[in-house]
Amino acid sequence: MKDKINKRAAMGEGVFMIYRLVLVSVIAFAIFGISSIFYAYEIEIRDSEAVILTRQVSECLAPEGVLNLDVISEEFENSILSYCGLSKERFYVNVKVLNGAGEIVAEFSQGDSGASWVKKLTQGAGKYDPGQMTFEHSVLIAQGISEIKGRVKMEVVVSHEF
Amino acid sequence: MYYCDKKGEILNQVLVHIVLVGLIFAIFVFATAGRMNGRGVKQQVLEKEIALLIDAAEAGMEFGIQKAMINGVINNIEIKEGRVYVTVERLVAAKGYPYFSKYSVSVRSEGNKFIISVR
Repeated sequence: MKDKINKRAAMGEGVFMIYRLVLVSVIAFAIFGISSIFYAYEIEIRDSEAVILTRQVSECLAPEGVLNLDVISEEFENSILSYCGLSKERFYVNVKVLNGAGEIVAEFSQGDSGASWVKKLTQGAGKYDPGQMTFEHSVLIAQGISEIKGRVKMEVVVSHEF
Repeated sequence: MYYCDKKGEILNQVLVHIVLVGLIFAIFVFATAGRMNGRGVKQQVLEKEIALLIDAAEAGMEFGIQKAMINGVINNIEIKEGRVYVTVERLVAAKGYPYFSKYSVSVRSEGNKFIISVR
């Protein structure tokens, strides 16, 4: 009878030990998980990508400072990155061509225009904060036989990469 | 006599317990250290630096990357489907990093360097 009780007690102790070990493991993994989040090192290059993409699009649209609107067909109005042969994933590009009076002569874009809104919403939110570049420069706008002085306003947003 | 046996049994259990808890925490410490020891960080730095170099490069440019450098030993560099994959200290790249260059990019091993060509 005494033996039987001792066996039961030993079994209970064993079960309790398993329970404690499981508890310790859960705590250890919880600490690991939390520390992983804090120590996850994310190197941010999206602003640099936005700068490079701005330069690439600018050079593609206005090589040597002349933007020839006759060359860019209407079908590329909403696919300017495809026109320039650049990858369109993760990017939003908007280009406004303005004349001397500041009126929009032409507008080109590609990508999710919501990216610009997301940028405002996630400002400073680490890896969810997209890279952005806005750039304005003067160009000669060529259309038909006329050439006028104008400006190009560009906005490039680079979304996160997972 | 019975008292002595019981004492030994408890001591034995406590020792087993301590060893097991120690093992769990050793795994935990090594996992955390592995997370922070930098292989992944080095890989991320290299992949992103190479992607930026490719993006900024003009056609006809070539650049060399030393296999053994301050960022560790680079075992392999792969360029496929618009992504750069770098294997650093045998840590194989899982997802790489995308580049957006319009040019054709290739990589070859030459002596103690990897040469990346943009054409």
